[in-house]
Amino acid sequence: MRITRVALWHVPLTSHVVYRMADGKTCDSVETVVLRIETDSGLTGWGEVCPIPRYLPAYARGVAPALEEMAPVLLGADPIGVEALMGRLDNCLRGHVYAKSAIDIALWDLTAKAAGLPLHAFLGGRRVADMPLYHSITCVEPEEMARMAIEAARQGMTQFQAKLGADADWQADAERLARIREAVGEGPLVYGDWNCGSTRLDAIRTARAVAHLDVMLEQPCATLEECAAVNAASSLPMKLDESVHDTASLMQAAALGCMDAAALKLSKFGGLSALRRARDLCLHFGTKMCIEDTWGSDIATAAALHLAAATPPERVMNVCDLSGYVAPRLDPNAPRRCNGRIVPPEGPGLGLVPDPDVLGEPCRIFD
Amino acid sequence: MRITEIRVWQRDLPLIKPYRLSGGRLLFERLDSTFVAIRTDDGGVGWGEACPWGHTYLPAHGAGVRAALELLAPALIGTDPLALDAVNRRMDVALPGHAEAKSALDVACWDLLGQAAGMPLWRLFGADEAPPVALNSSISTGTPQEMVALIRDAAARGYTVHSAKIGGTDSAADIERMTAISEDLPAGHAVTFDVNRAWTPGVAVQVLNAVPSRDWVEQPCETLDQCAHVAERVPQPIMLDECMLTHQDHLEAWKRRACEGVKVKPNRVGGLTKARRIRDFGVAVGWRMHIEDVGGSALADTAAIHLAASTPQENRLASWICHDHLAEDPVPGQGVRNCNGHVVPPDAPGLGVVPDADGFGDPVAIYGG
Repeated sequence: MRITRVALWHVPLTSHVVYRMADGKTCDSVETVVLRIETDSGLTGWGEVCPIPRYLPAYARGVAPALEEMAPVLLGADPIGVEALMGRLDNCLRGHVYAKSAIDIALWDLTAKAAGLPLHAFLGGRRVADMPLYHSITCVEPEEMARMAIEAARQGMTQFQAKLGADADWQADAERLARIREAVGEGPLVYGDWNCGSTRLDAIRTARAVAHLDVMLEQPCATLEECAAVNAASSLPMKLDESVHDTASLMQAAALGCMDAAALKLSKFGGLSALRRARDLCLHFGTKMCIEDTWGSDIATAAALHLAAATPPERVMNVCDLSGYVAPRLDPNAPRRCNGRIVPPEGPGLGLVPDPDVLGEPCRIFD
Repeated sequence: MRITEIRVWQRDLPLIKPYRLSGGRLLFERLDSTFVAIRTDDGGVGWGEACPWGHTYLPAHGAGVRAALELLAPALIGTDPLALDAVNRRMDVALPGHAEAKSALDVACWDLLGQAAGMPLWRLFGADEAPPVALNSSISTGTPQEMVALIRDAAARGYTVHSAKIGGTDSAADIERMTAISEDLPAGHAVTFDVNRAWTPGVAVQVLNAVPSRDWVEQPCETLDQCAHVAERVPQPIMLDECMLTHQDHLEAWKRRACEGVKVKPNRVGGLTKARRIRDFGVAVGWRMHIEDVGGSALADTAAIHLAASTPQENRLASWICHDHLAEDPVPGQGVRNCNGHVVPPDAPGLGVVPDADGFGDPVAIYGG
């Protein structure tokens, strides 16, 4: 089998609820990049990457130029045996893991379709029927956030991530965690995420103000060392996200002892091949995993769901139905949240059939 | 002063001869360079250049520079180009990472600051005089005989410091290369063996303990962690380059005693503002530094040489200039030029290189205006 053509679309995704994080980062309308890798066998593979502006060193319009650089290696190559081809792409263009994430997902989709098997069969084999979701709550007034948590809890959600820091007020952040904890009652998982937007001092003050509560903290500051310092100064468990993005950073975080949980995001690591390696490392560390992507629609969501379904369930903290937060849906038949849980799509490969009317004409063709 | 317009040009810069490094694994034939001109409301123009070394050397490529400028340039329109730290913070908020694109804009703002101050950049970087900066040759990977011949050629052109590119899967060949080069090195000359991250730690420890050379060895392995492992176990001083992308990387390298020196390249770290911070840190902790750019015309070379010339002699090793390897000269005769193995930065205000924009043809993008 040979790759004959790659089509690329830019699709704007509009959030149902405008989503606010620390440092003024928002997700109201974000462009996602969709790839279709076509082969001489007639099989096609789908990939997606949707960088949130200003969140990671990644941007939507950086994908096409990176793809142009890698196209000579990609076109004509055999898509089966994903890691071998991704290794050649790494030699062609260093870094740019977010652009490679979309390619890697599409190659896995093709490989699994060629075998006639669902993708989770290639990532370790299916462990569970469905996985728990978390619900992410935009950073607004504490009262309003508690109301949003109750609404989500009524739909069956049992895990709540509160975005913190948008108003740079450590007391308001403590209030947010306390109100949500109170609103959802004992049992559900509640954690507060600063997305690197706090300082050590403010994060420690917030942490100490909620030290009596069953809550977890997430990525208060930009560096691992700062997060470790906040962790050491509080008695609360910690989840890491932005500062763990490859093998070296996972190792360092584990050594610092501040990674009770970690966000494993496809585009942060460079696709399913890289995320599977990170998943295996986290199994070794005993780190609970949130397996997802930064943002996106059905393709990115489905790819993460396949990996999560093939991961020991006691280590999967949660997954995310990204495509449920935005419109349009790329595949109207893709899985939706049901009672706080979600299943991976059925069928060979990713199990998706993106809607041609939603995509329209490709923005770029590489052939 | 406010930025009113940013113009962007693309130029292909063919190399005089194909260049191999990292054991011949990486081959380069032409560079893809991006020039920017920042115009201000008082009629000033500042110039910068971003030229990654191909697309296999660092996580950077030419088309990516121009795509990133689509986000970065609009963020600077209407702002004060002389407030360099604010310019850099604004760029860092607009797009995390992507140092290779930020570098061109940062250098152009430094050019404007120098012109406004009526001083060359080397003075703004803290020097009271700009002594000639020794140049480093760059010796492409080949057989031991080929590499020895290239060093003799470079010596004939006045170079006394050489960067010999080695590193491959055949460790015996690397031992031969290093031994042959050491034996043939002209008296008074110095050599750095640049592995360009080709070795695994085991090969590095084996080779470096087997050779008589006690010269600098650069970037033996891929990661900082691997290089730190090697630095502890070999007799040669270690210089780091490709794995040093952020200020944090430099702090980490120092904390872990992973090197005795670094290469400081504005385009790799995001421009002169960030390169100067790293230079100052290097001086403070006693590192020795090669200060040069990743690639580009005499414009990019000149920006880096301003920083090199302002660095204390004891912390400074020779600088490489890219434009000596290019078959085209977009800024004919301007900026630093090799004079018997040395260069002197211009005394004119700012960068001291003013490209002829008319000769550049149509810009590929215009922001603001």
